Amino acid sequence: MKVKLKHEIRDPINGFIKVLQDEREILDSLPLQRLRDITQLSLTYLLYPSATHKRFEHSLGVMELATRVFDVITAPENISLDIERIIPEVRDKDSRRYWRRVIRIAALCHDIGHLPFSHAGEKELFPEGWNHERMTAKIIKEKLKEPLRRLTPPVRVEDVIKIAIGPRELKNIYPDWEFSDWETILSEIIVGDAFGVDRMDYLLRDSHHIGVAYGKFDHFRLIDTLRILPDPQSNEPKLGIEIGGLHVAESLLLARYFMYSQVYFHHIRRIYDIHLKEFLKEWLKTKKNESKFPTNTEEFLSYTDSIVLAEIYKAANDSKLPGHEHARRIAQRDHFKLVYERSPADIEVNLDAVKVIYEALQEKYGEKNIAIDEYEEKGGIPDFLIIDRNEKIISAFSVSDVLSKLPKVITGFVFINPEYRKEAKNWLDQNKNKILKIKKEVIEDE
Amino acid sequence: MNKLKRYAITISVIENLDKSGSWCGETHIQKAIYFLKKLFPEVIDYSFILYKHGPFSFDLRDDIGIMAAGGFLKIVPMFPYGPRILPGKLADKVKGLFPKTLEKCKEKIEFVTHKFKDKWVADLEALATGLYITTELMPSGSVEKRAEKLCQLKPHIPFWKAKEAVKEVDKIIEEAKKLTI
Repeated sequence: MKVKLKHEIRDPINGFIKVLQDEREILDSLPLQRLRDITQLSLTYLLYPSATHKRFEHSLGVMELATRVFDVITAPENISLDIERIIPEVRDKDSRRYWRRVIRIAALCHDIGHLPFSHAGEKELFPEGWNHERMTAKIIKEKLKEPLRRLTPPVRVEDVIKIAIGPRELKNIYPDWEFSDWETILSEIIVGDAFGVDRMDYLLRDSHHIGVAYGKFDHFRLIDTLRILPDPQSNEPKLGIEIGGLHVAESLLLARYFMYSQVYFHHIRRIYDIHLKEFLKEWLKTKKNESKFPTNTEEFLSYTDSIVLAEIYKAANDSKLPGHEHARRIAQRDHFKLVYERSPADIEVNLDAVKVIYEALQEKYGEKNIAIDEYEEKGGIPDFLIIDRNEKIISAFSVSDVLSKLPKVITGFVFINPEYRKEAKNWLDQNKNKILKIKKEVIEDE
Repeated sequence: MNKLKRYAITISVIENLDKSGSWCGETHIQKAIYFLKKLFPEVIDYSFILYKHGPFSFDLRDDIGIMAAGGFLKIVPMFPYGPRILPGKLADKVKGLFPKTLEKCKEKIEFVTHKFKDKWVADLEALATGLYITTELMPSGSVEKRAEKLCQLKPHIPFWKAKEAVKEVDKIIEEAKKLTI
């Protein structure tokens, strides 16, 4: 029988995703197949009903986009002599072939350490010192080492971990591992702030499934304009774009802003994350008397959304079961309601406005009836290198009016048990200004 | 360390860099705070890794972005390089919460920012990577060995520049000791 060397998987975002025969062993492994049962957006489907897509297809999409970016930035016509000198890996054909395979596998595996329901409550549900990146590194090491060796050419497990996780998180896992300029660029292709394909894929995929238009941008054009450029101030190689890609790069950043402000940090989505996290803490306590997921690889891989959902419905229908109250709120869509939202005017009066309002409401209505959620968008100033029409390398920030005006998402919500909402709103209307002035920021000046 | 206290110290570093005539871009702030952390660890504690232009703190990068969005800093575009970062409209409010803290570290902040007043990105990269090698990788290495390591980590930096940077790092460490006693 003829062996198929390449498989094609249909995907609504990327058309066909190509998987090589020897990559199938990794794709078919338990850590990857488990992602078919981990939703990309947690309980967002309680707000946007069609947001039911899974991390599995996202992982395939990231692999496809990472490959396209790799092929563009290493194409001989896109590499300058300066870059060839600083990064010898882009010159050598065998080396390019090896790293192309590394980035494909790293992209495919970058999310395998996610808990059920992805990010919801990750910080509190992993044991101290653990997060999904560390779990991903552990699973790659323990479960995929042998399949990686069987690839042609064989791939070093350390290289896959490095490129999948990136320098920021890896420092906490393997403090002695250093990144070369080349490895830094490769990991930026996946997890980078400006042009990371992880972000490109989730913005496109999430907006497609949710049914919103503002998460979309012309990623084909953006990828075609990506280049490795030497920083004109230091000669350090970085990922940048040709000037023709500037507007689409701006639209990617705008898409991110809109998706974060209107989808990912929508207050209803956030309160369901809180109910889910609180349920999980109580449910997990019944297993090992600690409210954390296990980091033993076998045990970890046995947890998926379906397992948790079954427990949620069980607990929702039985008031004696741990986590009943939060499970019921999820199952019956009876979430806590928004009672206060951060405002810049309040911050000018009190830099800790959200926290002091939260504490005041807790005092008045009791701790168990109030919840808080604060978030500040990570990532620095949105700047990157561009090469203009005169071949001059300049800062995108210096020529883009959009980048310099791009807002950041900073949210702060206080939620209340629905039965007290009306009364609490009236109480807050009357007392907010007094609370903000009297309750000073929590400071320790010495 | 409390978030607002971290902001107050960072703003004070930025103010001093600006006063001393520095370009005050993100790299200047990153490297000044790295020097502050290594020379005077009691002042500020961001976590750094070897990344863009040498030691780099993702947490500091996040804080700069958040401070700019919150009005504590303002970002001024400058052609053709990256933007300048300067104190924003709420800078004095957050600094006003920590008068004792800022007075206590004033001299140390001034020491570091004064050293950086006329440095450009390429100088800062060599210098900060030199400090990283000296304090974290090869504390007893000779100037030549450390310069070789610097060129290995940052292949775009020439050896002569690496050697100058390592010598300057040794000098700064010696001078800083006078302030720590």
